[in-house]
Formats: sequence, structure tokens, C-alpha cells
Amino acid sequence: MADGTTKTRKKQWWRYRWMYLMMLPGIIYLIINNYIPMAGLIIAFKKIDFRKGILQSPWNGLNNFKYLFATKDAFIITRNTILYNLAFIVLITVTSVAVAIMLAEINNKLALSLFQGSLLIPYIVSYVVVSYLGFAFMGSSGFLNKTVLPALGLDPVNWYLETGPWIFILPLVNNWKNIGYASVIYMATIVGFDSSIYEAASIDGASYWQKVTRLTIPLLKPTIITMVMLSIGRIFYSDFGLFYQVPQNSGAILATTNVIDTYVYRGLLERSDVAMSSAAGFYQAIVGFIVVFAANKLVQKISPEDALF
Amino acid sequence: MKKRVLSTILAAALTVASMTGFAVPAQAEEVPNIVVVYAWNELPANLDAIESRLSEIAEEKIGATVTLQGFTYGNLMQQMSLALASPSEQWDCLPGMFRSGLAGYVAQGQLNDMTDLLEEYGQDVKATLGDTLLKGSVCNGRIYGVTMLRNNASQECIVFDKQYIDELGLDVSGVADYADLTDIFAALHEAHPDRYVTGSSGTKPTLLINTFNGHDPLSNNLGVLMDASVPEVSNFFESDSYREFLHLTRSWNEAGYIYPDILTDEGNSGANLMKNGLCMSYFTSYTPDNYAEYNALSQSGETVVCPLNSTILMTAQTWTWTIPTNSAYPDKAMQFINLCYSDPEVISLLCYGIEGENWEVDEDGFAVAIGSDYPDQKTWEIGNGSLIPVQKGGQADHWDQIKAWNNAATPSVAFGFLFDSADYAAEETALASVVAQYRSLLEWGFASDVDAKLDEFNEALYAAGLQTYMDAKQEQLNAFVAAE
Amino acid sequence: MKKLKAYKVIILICLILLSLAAVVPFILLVISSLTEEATLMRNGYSFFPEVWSTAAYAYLFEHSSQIFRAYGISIFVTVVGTAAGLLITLLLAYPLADPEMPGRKVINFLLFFTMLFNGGLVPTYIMYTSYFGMKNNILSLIIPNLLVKAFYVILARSYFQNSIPKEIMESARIDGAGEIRIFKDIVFPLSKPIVTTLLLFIGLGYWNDWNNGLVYLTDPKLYSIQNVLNDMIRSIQFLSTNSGVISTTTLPSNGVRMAIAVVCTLPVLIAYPFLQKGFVKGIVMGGVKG
Repeated sequence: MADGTTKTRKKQWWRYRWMYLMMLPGIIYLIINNYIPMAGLIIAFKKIDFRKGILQSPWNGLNNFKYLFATKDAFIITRNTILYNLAFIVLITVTSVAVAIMLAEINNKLALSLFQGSLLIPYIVSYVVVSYLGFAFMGSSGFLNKTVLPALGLDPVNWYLETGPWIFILPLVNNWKNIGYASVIYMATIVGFDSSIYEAASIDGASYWQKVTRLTIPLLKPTIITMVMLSIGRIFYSDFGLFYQVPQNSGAILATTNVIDTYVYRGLLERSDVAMSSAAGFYQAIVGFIVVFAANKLVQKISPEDALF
Repeated sequence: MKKRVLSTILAAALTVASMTGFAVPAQAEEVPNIVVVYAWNELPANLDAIESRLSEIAEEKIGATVTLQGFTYGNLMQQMSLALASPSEQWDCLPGMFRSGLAGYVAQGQLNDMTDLLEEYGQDVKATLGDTLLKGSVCNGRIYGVTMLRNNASQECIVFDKQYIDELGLDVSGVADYADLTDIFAALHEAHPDRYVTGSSGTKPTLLINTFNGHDPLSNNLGVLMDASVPEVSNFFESDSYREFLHLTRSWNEAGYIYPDILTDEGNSGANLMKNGLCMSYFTSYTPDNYAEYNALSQSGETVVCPLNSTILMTAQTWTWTIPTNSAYPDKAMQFINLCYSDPEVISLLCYGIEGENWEVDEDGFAVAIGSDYPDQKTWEIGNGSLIPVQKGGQADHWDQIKAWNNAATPSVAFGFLFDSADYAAEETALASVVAQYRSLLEWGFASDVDAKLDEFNEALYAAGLQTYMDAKQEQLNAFVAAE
Repeated sequence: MKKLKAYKVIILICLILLSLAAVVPFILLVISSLTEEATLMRNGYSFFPEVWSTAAYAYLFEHSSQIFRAYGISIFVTVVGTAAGLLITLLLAYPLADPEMPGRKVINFLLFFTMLFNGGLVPTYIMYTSYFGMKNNILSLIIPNLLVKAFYVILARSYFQNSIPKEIMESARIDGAGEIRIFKDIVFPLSKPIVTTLLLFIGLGYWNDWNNGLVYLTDPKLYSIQNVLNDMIRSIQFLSTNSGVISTTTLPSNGVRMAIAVVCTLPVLIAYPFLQKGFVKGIVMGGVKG
């Protein structure tokens, strides 16, 4: 009996031999590019002495992690990182799905090309340039203060010194920059749908709105779940450019702009501490891992076929 | 499958196990080749020609050929952190840019102890710097780097665009202190309300760049010596003079003298603002006879420079010649560094480029650039720039002025002291975050209630562990002073 | 019929507004690169500058040999990297979409794991430079970090899983077609939308990357266009945050930085419509869903 299962299993493996061969280049690459350097994660637990080498350096317990939790800033940066990421995930998912559904209605090649191309422009422009553009809008002689606010009869605002507005500015900028990119993914999925389902629905007299809510969105569900899960894994990371360059590194608004990545950057700017920055990365990855694992368990319960792994 | 993947990964990890200490390359080569790192604002177009000439000289004088590894300033920092961590790389001479001293690099075993090498091969370095300056990069009693002869002392200054001073007939000769500036600012503002009076040299500026009234910031202003002759660490931000200073700058800001985007205009330094006619002056750190440089940054092409406060000699050697641990030939490296303090041709090659091709000497004995192949000519990064002709625009006695100014500076009692903050990294990072939040805001007068904000700042500093940090600094300083 | 038109109009208006929000700042960028420096500083950014100037582009033209070389490198890296990356990604994703393949779960997990954990810059750098000779090698702009990303593999995998009818593959198998043949002749032609998406993403990833150049290159002859831009910006930041070591060299001005940003972005905008074909074809294939 046991012999039989091994045999069938072997057979199964053999049947997929070409498949394994196809995967080989990718797997080799991931091992080299991603897995071998992971040995370097031990740096996070070492008191580095490059003279002795990474492996021979003395252990340092969890001391390299201390600075991430030592002060009341720890609460602020953790809160900001998580809340902003949650806001980004919700906003970008809702808006980019909407944009993709709208784009799918455009049948004119040129119009589609124009819309999609324009929406991608912000993604191509780097955050340094975005920060200049932001400054053009929000600087003391910027567009908002010189044109918009006076027209509304309001006093000029020193945007880079006020903590409040940034709760809205950062998600807005993030969404503006990434909506084109994210909608491409949903668009590609919608385009791949079987058109006969839609035709059948039309024959049954379904309205456009019904087709969107009853057909398109349910069909998009697997893609949406995958995308959300992938973002959740990065819940402790943040885009350095968005949080450092766009607020112009202004100290006065740190309460609403400081996140783990910028805190680590500012803290280690004056030190060349490989171990401490490695510790920060390890911490971010571990938290992301736990959160994703929990989320995946949840998905496995609700709709097993959409689970990530 | 699971097992197979795991074992593959394990095998791979073992490969990395060879990431052990720095391997010393085989010394079989006949003529040793040393890698000399150097940084420019923009790389010279004829870098290869400079390299081969350098190599010729070095082979003749110290018996080693040279590979010149050029970087732009922007890339040097990044490459330094990687190359000094990589055992397979060879860097022999590095004019490093160390923002807060060498201590961190020394603690991570990335720099060689140069004390004995200096004794054996560094006669000219020692003669140029003298005993005092040589102490500038000492760590635990050993020398890990040698500074370059330049404006080694520290003082703040303000640079005015001369056309406005002349136009209003202002007398700035009496300006010696920040408070003296108020009247001048007021006059400038009244005459040109469409321009801002002042900016700063940095884009992430703190107004007090280095020192204030002769206090020694002990490298980061977190625990300072208020009186540089008394080794007593205290909180600068709590002092009365700092509070007074903040009220002064607040009054400037309220009067509209300060460029309102100074904290956030990432793209433009104060100098750039002045060049484009937006500001009439900017603050920076002082170098004697630096008019050529300041003039280039003014709209009218001429500047008036007023040094502020007293001059102090403190440990703040950001640029330092070092020999990294991954050097293959530390002795040759030391010999090459010694050439940077003694051999005019080596010095001029790195500072100005090739004579007759990149630069020439004019009839008055000044160095003049030919063409634009060698974009930034400077003598502060090299070692002993006084051995080659002064650049056109400076004064003939440029180096005498610099030496006299360095010598006149009061040495801090903590000169040569570097705080080893390895065990206080958590406090240091937390404090850095607090400083980022408050300091430049306060110093440029953007806080409407100075006293309240300053108290808040100090509370936040103590909450972040300033007392622990200062106590540790004091303890190490005591040991340093006792050893002196 | 009228109702049908109403929602189309709403969609059009929405898309036009969104596109404007994306394009208008870019136009501002182009205009500011054509604004005279002093005007830019005194009046701020404006759609209607007082004084126009092409000085920024003249400056770039002075450095044209460096910039054209950098363009060449960027194009080479983008084309080669995208082609190789796309192929490897698809080959890895396709088998993973087969729910019956033994070992699939483990590989899926290990794939996803790479999105969370990485060894960090220093170990990666040491490995690539010590064992693979990546220092100052043009391959260093192609291979490290960019070639295969788990994210793209997962995208492709879920496309294969959800959008390719299993029956087609099954019938091909019954007809005796080999796996590689099925992939090449049946799956690939049905995958235009995802292939186009990946082409776009991987290509943008290569075109926009400056990090690999910053880390692995010390020879400016190998710089991509993004590295040239980034090098200038980093030098400006370095000099302006380290007062006291200012240099007499005048730094590239705001206008130049804007001009470089324009120069970096334009090729993508020019290349985009060609890529777009893939999406349009996909729609035609999918039929009209109105």
C-alpha cells in the first residue's frame, strides 16, 4: 500500500518534469538574489566588527532593536505607519478598481491610450520631482497660497508647519501617484474575462450597474484579495520618498508624517550602523509576516481558493 | 520537496559563511597597487590622465602604482558604507566624510590604526598639522585619521551681497555678534521690501551651524561645553543665551527678514537664493580669505563677509584621510597620504588637475583654470594645499591667513575627544528625532511662542534620554581629560 | 438607450478629470523647465512665466555626450532586462498555476516569503560583488533585485489561474501536446493582457531604477539616465547639508533638475502607445461589454 503511494507520487513528479524545468531559472534566481543574502539577517543580532567578519562578530542579543522601542516616538511612528498603510490600501483598492471598470468601457483606442497613459505619468515621475511640484503648490508663494486661498477669501496657510492637513495630503499624493499603476492590474484582469457571460447578462436585461456589481466585482474578487494581501505584508514599510521628500523633511509636522522608515533614516544618518538598520528591516518583515499569516488563515476559512499560500 | 529546498538553501547559506573577515590579498604582485579614493562635485573629464600621472609619481617615490577611484560627493557616502563593509573590496587611501566623527567606523572595525604608520611614514603629515591638529581624530588614544590643513577652527559668519551694503552706505565693520545684525537687517528690509534679508547656506538648516559664543557642541550639541575651557557637560538648549538667541531670531522672523520657505525649500540653498536676487545675505561657516567662493555666489559678484562670535578649535573634523581595514598595503597607503602633505605635484593633480592642461600659473603667481575639464578646484580636501599656488581670486597670503586664524582660535578643552555612543544608540536616535522636530523651527523664529516651544523641546529631549546621554558623555570626557 | 448614454457620459467626465489631475502637474514641470531661473525663484512655479528660457536644456546639451550615452544604457538595460525578466517570470508562474503540481504550495510560499524578508543591502552587495563580479558591470543594472519579482510572478500566476480556461489545456493534453508546447502555442497567445501588463511594469521598473547603479557602479560611463539625474540631485543635497565645504562650482539649478525629469519621462510617454496595443487587442478579444 505504502509502496503504491510512493509510486504514484513518483509518477506524479515525473509527469510534471517539464514544468519543473520551466521553473528552474526563476527558482535559481530567487535563491541567489533573495535567499542567500538572507543569511545576512544575523547582522541584526551581532555587534559588528568587520575586521572579524560578520559571522565571527560577537552576538549582541536584542540590543540592536532597542532604539525602535525606546521612546514615546515608538508609538507615534508605529501608529502612523499602520494607519497610513491601511488608508492607502482601502483608498487605492476602491479607486483603482473603479478606474479600471471605467476604462474597460472605453472602446476608442486613442482615448483609452490617452487616459491610461496620462494616469501613469505620476507613477513615472520620481518622488524628488513630486516634492518640487508639491512645493510649487504648497510653498509660501505657491499656487494654493497665492491663487486658491485668496480667491476663497481665506488666509494663507503654512502647509509645511501644520500637522493636520498632512493626514489628507499624504493619502491623496499616494493615490494620485499609484492609481494608474494599480488600475492597470485590474484592467488586465477585466479584459481577460469571458465576454459571453456579459452577453448572457445583457440578454437577460441586466443594467450596466447590475453587471458591474453582480459580475465584474465578484469576478475581480480573487485579484482584489491577492493585491490586498500583498499590501498587508508591507504594512510596516512605507515609501521613503512619500514620507520624507514630499513633506520636505519638515520637523514641525513629524507628529503626522514620521513613520518607521523615516525615523530609522533620521536616527542613523549620523551613525554608520549596519546592525541597527538591519534590525529595523527585520522587525518590519517579522510584523508583516505575522499579519499576512493571520490574514491568510482568515481567507482560508472564508474562501479557501483565494488564499495566497 | 520541502526537504530538498531547505537543503539547497542551507548549502547556499554556507557559501555565505565565507563572508568572514577581510582577506589579505596575495602580496605576489611585483609593484603593489594602491587604490586612492577621491571626491569631487563633478568628476574631472580627464580622470584617466590624472590617474596615470599620479601613478608615475607614486611608483617613483613610494614604489607603488595608483588606481584613482573618483566619486562625486553625493555617491561617496553611499559607496563608503558599502565598500568599508565588503571584504572583497580594496580601498587604501580614503579622504572620508565622517559626519559625526570616526568613532562609529572605528567601533565597527572599519578603519586602521594609523599611529605607528604615522611614526614610520608620516613625517610630513606630522610637521604640517602640528601636535594639536593631529589629535583631531583620536579614538581611545590611537590615531585613526589625519585631518587636512584648511579652516580647521570653527566660526560662524554672515555673507552680504555687497551691492546692497554699498547702496545704503551701511557700516558692517562693527558686526561681531548676532544681536548686532538687527539694525542692518532693518535697514536692508526697509530699502528692499520685495526681497528677503537673509537665508542660510544649507537646505536643512540650523542657524547655529557649528558654535555659538564659543561653546563646544561636542559634535552634536546634545550635551555641550558652554565654556570650552571647562570640561562640564550641560544642556545647551536649556541655557539662557540660547533662549535669548531664539527671541532675537523670532523678532527677525516677525519683521519679515527671513525667507519664509527656508525650512522647506529643498531645492535652494541660501547662497543660491542670494545669487538669484531673492535674499540679500546668508549665514554659513567662516573661512578666512574665501571671497572667491562667496563672490561666485552673489548676484553682483561681490560680497561682504562678517565673522560672528569667537573662533574655537574643537573636534569637528568631518573630512579626514583614513586607511580602511580592507586596505591591502597600509604602509604604502600611509606613504601616499604623506605625499598629499609634501609633494606639490601630487597635491596639484588632485586639486587642480594637470598643469598646462587643466590649469596654469599666471604672471602674479595665481593658479588659473584652463577650460572646464576640471570643474571644481579646491584645496581643502587634500592635505597641505599651501604647497601649491593659490587659486585666482584669493589673496597671495591666503594660507598665512588660514594658519593665523587656526592658531588664534581657542582650543577647546575637549579638543580631540570623540564620544563613543555605541552603548547609547537608542538615546541618540531618539534625540535625533526630537532635534529634527524642534530645532530649526525654533532657530529660524517660526515658533510663535518661543518660551513655550523651547520648554516643550527640552522636555522632549529629557524624555528621550538626554540626561543619560549627557552623563555618559561627561564620564567619557572626564576619562579623556584625566588622560591628557 | 438614453440611460445607457448617461452612464457613459459620467464615466467620460470622471476619466477626463482624473487624467487632467495627472497631466496638469506634468505640464507645470515642463513649463518650469523652460522658465528663467531667477523668475522661477522669485515668482515661484507658474503656468505663465514672465521670462521664458531654454538655458536648462542648453546646459543639458553641453553634457549631451554623457546624456546620450546614459540614454543608450537605459534603453539597452530596459530592453534586455524586460525580455529576460518577462520570460523567466512567465515560466515560473505558469506551472504554479496548476493546482495539481506536487510541491506547488511550498514554492508558492517561498515565493511570497521573498516579498517580506530580504537580507538587506550590505549582504546582497557583498554576495554580488564578491562572487558574481557585479561591480562596474552592466549586468549589475539588470540582475540584482529587478529581474524577477515575486509580485509579478503572483500576478501572472493568478491570471493563468483565473483567466485561462482549463478545458483548453486539458483537451490539448489529451491530444498529446507537451507542456512546453501547450505553454507556447495555447497559453501564451491567450495571455496578452497580462503579458502587456508585465512588460509595462518590468520595463518601468528598469527604466526608473537608479538604486542598482548607485550601489554597484563607480564608473560614470555605465550610468543610466536615472543615475545621472540622481547623482546631480544627491550632490546638491550633500553640498547643501554640509555647509563649510561649499565649492565654487555652480550647481545645476532648479530648471536643470526639472529639465532632466522631463528628459527621463518623455521616452516612456513616447513608448507607451505602442505597448497600449496589447490592452486594446485584449478588449477586442473580450468583446464589447456595454
